[in-house]
Amino acid sequence: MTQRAGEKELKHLFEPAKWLGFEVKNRIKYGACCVSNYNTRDGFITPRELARTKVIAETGCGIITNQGAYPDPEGLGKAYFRQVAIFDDKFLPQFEMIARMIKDNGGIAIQQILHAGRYGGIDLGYCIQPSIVPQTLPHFRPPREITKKQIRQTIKEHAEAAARSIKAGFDGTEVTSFMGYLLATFNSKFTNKRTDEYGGSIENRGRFMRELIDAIKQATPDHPLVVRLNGTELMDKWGGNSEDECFELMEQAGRCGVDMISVTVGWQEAPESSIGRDIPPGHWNYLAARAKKLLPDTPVAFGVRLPDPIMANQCLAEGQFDFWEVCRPLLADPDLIHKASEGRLNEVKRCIGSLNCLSRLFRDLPYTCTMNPALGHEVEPEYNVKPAAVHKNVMIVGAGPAGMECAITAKRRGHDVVVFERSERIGGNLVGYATHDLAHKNDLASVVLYYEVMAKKLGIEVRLNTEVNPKLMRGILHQFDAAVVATGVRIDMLALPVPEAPGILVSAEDVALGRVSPARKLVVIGGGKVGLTLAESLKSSGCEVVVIEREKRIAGDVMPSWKWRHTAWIEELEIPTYTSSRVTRIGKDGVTIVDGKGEEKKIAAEMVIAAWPARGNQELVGELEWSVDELHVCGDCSVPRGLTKAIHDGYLLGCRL
Amino acid sequence: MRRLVVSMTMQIEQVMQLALAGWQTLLDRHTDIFHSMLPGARIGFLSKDDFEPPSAMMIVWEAGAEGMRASYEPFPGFEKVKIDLLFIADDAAIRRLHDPHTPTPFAEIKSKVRHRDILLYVVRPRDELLDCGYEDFIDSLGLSFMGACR
Repeated sequence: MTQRAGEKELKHLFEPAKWLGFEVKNRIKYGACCVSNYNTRDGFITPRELARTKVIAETGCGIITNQGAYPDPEGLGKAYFRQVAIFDDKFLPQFEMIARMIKDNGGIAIQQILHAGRYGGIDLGYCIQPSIVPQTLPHFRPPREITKKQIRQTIKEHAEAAARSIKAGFDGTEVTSFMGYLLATFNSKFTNKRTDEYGGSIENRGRFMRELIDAIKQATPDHPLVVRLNGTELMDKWGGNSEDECFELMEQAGRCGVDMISVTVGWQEAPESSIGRDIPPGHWNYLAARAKKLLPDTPVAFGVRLPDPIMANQCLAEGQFDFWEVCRPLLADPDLIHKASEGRLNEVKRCIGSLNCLSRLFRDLPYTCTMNPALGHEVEPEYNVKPAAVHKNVMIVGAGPAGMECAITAKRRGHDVVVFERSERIGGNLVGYATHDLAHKNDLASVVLYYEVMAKKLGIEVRLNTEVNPKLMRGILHQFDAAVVATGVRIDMLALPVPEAPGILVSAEDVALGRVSPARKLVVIGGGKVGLTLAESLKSSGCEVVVIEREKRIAGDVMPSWKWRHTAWIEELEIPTYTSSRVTRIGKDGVTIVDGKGEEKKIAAEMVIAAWPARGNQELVGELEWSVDELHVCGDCSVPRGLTKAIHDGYLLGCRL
Repeated sequence: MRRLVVSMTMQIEQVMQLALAGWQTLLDRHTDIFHSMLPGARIGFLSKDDFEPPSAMMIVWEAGAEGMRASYEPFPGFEKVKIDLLFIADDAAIRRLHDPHTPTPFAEIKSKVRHRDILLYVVRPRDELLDCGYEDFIDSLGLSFMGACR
C-alpha cells in the first residue's frame, strides 16, 4: 500500500504494531478520557451517543476505547448522571453496535469499566471508598467505607462487566485507577486508611487492584486488559502517594500480567493543573518514559497534555511509550489522524484546552467542545454540513471566530463567500486575547491560524482593511444574496463616567491589539476574562495594575473549570482587585470608586483601561436591513458570550444559510 | 523520643487552646463573609498534627441567631463529626489566623487552601451547603471548581 505524505513523515505514529494476537494499524489509542453524559439516566446508550461513537470509530485510531461504563446495579460506580451502565445483558445491544462500528473501521475495540468510587454514587447521595475520608470538592457525595463483602462483590461485578463487554464483541477491556476513582482510592494513601489486608503497606493497598486484575483476567483469559494508572497523583502534599509509590503500584500491575498500562496524571482534587492550557505540551512525558523503563515488556500508552501528533511521533521514536493515547484533540477535530496521515496538519482544529468539556460535565451537562460545535449533535441533521439546496453569494462582515466559522461552513456547503474585515488581519478580538493569554499562547493563536489556512484552502475571499458602510453597500448592492453581521463587540465607553482628561481612558481592545501603548500605572475596569487577561499580562510585563469589578467576584464570565486559574494568577501576581465597586470618576490622575458599603476611594493611575461593559457592534444591522435579501447576525455581535458561543453560532448559521 | 512526643503534644494543645476570645474577634470582624449562613451551620478547624480521635480537638465556628460563635470540641472522627466544612491546617497557619495582627486572614485561608497548605474537607454535599447559606463562603474561597480534572 502506498504511504501517504504524513505517514512517511510521522512514520512511528503510523507504524503498525502487534499487540498480543492483534494487528494494530497504528500507534494511536483513542482514550476514554471523558464520559459524554449523552445517555439515559438509567444507563442505556442513546442514538445521540451512537451517532457520536460512529464519528469516534471513524477517527482512524488503531485502538479505540469506548467510554467508561459503571459495573454495578446500585450505581455506586456511577459518576455522571447520564453515564452508561454495563451491569446487565439488557444493555448489550447498543454495546454490540459500538463494538461493530469500531471493528468495521479497522480498530481494536476496548470497553472501559469505570467504577468512580469516591466520585460515584451520583444518584445515591453517598459514595464508597476504602476509608471515610471526606470530599475536598463540593461536587461529590459524602463517603461510606466499603466493606469486605462489598469489595468481593465489586470485584465480581467488574469481572462480569468485562465478560459482558467481550460478549458484546469488544476485543478487550480497561479499568481505570486515576483521578480518584475506586481503584485509585485503594491504591492511594490519601483515601486508604484501612487497617485490614487492603490497607497499610503499599502491597496491601495494591491488593484490591491485583485481585481485580486477576478476576478480570480469569473471566476474559483470551482478551487484553488495560489498566490506567497514575504516574503521579499530585496529592502527595496531603498524604497521597509519591511518584515512587505510583510506580511501585505500576510494577504490581505489571507483575499481575496486565496487557497495557496507560499512564495518567493527577486526581480531580489535586491542587495543580494536569491538562489545562497552562501546562506546556509534553510536560508529563517523563512519567511515560519512566513507566516504559520500569516495564519494558508491557505496552505503555500515554497522552496527557500531549496534543500534538508530531511530538507524539518523536516520543514514539525515542521509545518513551508505545501508543499515543489521545482523546480531547479528537473531540476538537475528529479528522485529526486522517489530516496527519495526509500531511495536512495545518488544517487541524486544535484542542485549545478551554476546558469547556469538563466545565459542562461538572455542571452535570453533556460535554461539548469549543472548537467542534457538532460534538454531541451528530445525530441532529441541523448540525451536518450538507450541500446547500440553493446556491448563494454570501457576504460576511467581520473575520473574527464567528464570521470565519460561518464563512468556512457556508463555503463547504457550496456557497460563494466573501468576508469583509476592517482590520488588517483575520481573528478579530481573539488576536489580542491570545497575545495576552498567560497560559500556552499558541493554543488560542492556533484558532486564528486555522482560519487563515482554511480561508486560503477553500478559496474564501477575505477583503482586509475594508470597512462595510452604506457607501460600500451602494457599490456592491445586489451582488450578495445573504449578509452575515459578525462584527463582534466593543467596550461601551459611553457607559462609563466622562474622563476628565483626554487620552486617560482607553479601551481594552485597543491595548490588547497594540493600538495603544499602556502606561506604567494602570486601572482596569472590569474583572471578567478580558480585563483579567489584560491585567495579568500587563502586570507580568512590569506595569502596576489595579482591577475594579462591579460584581461580588471576579471572573464571572470565565469557563467554570478555568475560573480558579485567573483567581490564582491574580493572587500570584499580587494584582489588587476591588469587587462590588463602581467607578464614579475618571480623573487625570486616576479613578474614584465607590465600594459595596458606599465608601469612596481614590486609586491613582496614569491610564484607565475599560474592559467593561461589552456591547455588540450592531450598527450595521440597521444599515443593511434594506440592502440585502437575507440578513443574519451572529456571535458576540448579537449577545457577547465569548469564544465558544461565537464559534458555535458561526457554524450553525453556516449550516443553515 | 518520649520527650519529643510530649513536647509535640504540648504544642498541639497550645494551638488548640488559643484564647476563644481571639477566634470570636476574628469572626466578629468578618461578619460579611458569614452573613447568609443559617443557624446551625458549622465550620471546623483541626490541627494537621493531630486529627485522630479521641485526642484531637477542633475549633468550631457555629452560626447562631447572633452570628458566628467560636468554641472548642473534641474531634470524634470523620465518620461521626457533625460539621459542614472542615479545615485541616498546620499550627503556624492556625496561629496566623488567630493573630489579630494578620491583616487579611480569610484571603490567607483562600490562598493556603488553593495551594493545599490548608486542606478543606467538604463534609456535607454541595446542595445541603447551599441550602445552609454557604454559597458566599464557598465562592469567597474559590472552591466551586477547584480540581475537577484540570
